[in-house]
Amino acid sequence: MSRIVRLLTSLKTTLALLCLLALLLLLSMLLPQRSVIGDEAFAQLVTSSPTARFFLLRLGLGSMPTSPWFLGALGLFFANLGAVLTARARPTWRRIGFRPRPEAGLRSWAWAEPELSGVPPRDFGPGSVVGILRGFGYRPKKVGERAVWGVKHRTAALGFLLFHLSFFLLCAGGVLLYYTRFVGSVALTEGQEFDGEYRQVLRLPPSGEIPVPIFSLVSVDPRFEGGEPTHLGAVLRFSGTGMSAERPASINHPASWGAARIYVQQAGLTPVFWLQDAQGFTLDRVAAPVSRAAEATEVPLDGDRLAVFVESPGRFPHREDLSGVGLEIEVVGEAAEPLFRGRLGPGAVADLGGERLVLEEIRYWAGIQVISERGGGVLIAGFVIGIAGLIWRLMLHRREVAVVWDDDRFTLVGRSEYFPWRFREELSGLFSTLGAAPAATDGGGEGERADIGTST
Amino acid sequence: MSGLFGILFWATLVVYALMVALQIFGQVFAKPRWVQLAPWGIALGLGVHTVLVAWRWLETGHVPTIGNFENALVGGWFIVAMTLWAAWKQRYPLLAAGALPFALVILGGGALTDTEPRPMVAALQSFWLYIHIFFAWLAYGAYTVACGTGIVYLSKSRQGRQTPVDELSRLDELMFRATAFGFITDAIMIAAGSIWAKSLWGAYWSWDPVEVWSLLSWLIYGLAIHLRVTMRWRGRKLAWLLVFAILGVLVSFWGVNVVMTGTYHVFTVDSAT
Repeated sequence: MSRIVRLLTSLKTTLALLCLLALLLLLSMLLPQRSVIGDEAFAQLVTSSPTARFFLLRLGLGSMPTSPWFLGALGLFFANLGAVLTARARPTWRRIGFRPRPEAGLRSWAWAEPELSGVPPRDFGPGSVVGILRGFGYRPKKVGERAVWGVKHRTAALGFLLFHLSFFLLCAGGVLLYYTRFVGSVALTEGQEFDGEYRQVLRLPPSGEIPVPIFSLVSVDPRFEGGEPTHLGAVLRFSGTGMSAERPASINHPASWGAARIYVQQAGLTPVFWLQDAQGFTLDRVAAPVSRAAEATEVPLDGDRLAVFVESPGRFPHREDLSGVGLEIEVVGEAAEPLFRGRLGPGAVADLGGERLVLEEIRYWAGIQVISERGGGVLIAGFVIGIAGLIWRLMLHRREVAVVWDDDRFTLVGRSEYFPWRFREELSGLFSTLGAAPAATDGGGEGERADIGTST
Repeated sequence: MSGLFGILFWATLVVYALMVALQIFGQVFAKPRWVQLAPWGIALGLGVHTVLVAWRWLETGHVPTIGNFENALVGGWFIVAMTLWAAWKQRYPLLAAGALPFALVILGGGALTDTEPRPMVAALQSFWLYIHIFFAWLAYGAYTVACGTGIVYLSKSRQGRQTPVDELSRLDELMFRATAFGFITDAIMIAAGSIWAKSLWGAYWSWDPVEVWSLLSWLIYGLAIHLRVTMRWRGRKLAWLLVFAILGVLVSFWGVNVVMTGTYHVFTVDSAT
């Protein structure tokens, strides 16, 4: 048992696991991944090659994030992390305590590293030393008549704990997101209400509910500049228990409704048609959201079939241009006989032989995703705590100094956890300040010229 | 690139290249004054480079962040600025020779792509984008400085070279400092990118190739820090690791192009008609 604990708390284990995780991530970049190439291409690949089937499907390397290898490595990583944190918690707590060394200890330290020593100025004493150390950001403590100890960033070691604990928060956030994430897509034309029926459910949560926000699409606002989409926004009207509210949603700014976020991701044109008889009575009214993905959009039209063709993709029309847009239309009768084929613009009429097809107007439709999940806050907390821990540990690292003196000499010694050369510069500044004003009358300058060697 | 802009751009590249050559020449032929001259030339180049960034910003009306050329322009600026900052006052005289070739490659590569100004597409209009790329450039700049320092360290610590221990130990410290700084800013970059991805695509993390590369290179630098702090990796071993680790960063930088298919990191809005 103790051997397992030793292995788990070993830093070599940590390094080995980091290497393993890096290797698996690298493999996921080199091998085709289902999430990257898509389900269809992935299925084709594993069907066509037995080797690919073995590696990608049987070993699970084609879906690395959910493969047993990756999850196993992650499990070991967290076990190692937990064991290391448990083992390091008490020593870290002891280390951050404000415990000055005794004067004798400081004197032997100064004796061993005498590079920064000089003649003390006239008013040199515990008061001035404490004040100067404070000015340099140290927390000083007088530990004898002629010795002062100071420490800066003594709690830096807590940064280690925070940074590594943040991985558990990230993991908890990830698990919560995994178990509660729902993604459904909807396509609505301006004026249309979402009836709760998703066009496609892209992800069902293993637990948690399917959100059904009640909303309608009020308007869509697409903007293009030089063929590039510079804005895609929509106004949604949400209704609930006796209330109604309009909210904007656009790229990068989804609308919120409870735990659900509504993302506007696509836009297209929806021609709206009237079918009238010879007397002008309405027989049918249809809307045909046209899509570039399909060659033609077909909708039933009072027993006939209406097809709207998408022309070559030109400039996407802004709202003010919609009245000038023309669409290629084909109407086919019940017996597949052609009734009409031609180009219609808003307000134009097609004669179907006894019936009239009127293109009333062109509206926009919007492709919308409804996403609901929980755990994002935990994840962000993990990010914040992790980054704070890193800065605390690496940038605000612990530094310790001691000043001891007698009648004719004072010595400054110090050590820093990291970056000794940078610390030397700080120590050198501190030494100059200690040896400077108020200057002693007899040889006060000598201290400023004292040799600065490696003291860390 | 317009006439004057193009001339200034290529002139900047030539200045950087000359300064790298000057440092190598000075080192090989033992002419320290030549090595010490280089930072002044680089500062001059950086001044013009800054004008180019501002020019592009004014021309397009947005921070130059769109497309390979703008990324190269700003990314190269960060690498040069951070190298110059680290090497200033002759603290690390040969650093430019180690780090600046990466800026040259990035800038040259960017210039070979489409350099026409493009509008800010909807997907990129986010406050988080600026945080994401600002910290990305800080991280990549720091990693490049770490790698450049590693190259200088390896060259100065070869067997038979009489390099003062102090000089090597200062280089060793710079490698670690740059790595630590890069590691922190890289973490902020990944976190900011993740928050931006949530508002753009609705998911904090999608195991997208670009995301995986970023995570992988962050992990490698994390490994380097662990090795340094806990296993006392110093000097040549750390230098070699940092020289190789930059490959992950370069792939992250050009990754969008490499994995153009199957990545979310193609910033367009799907207009379906």
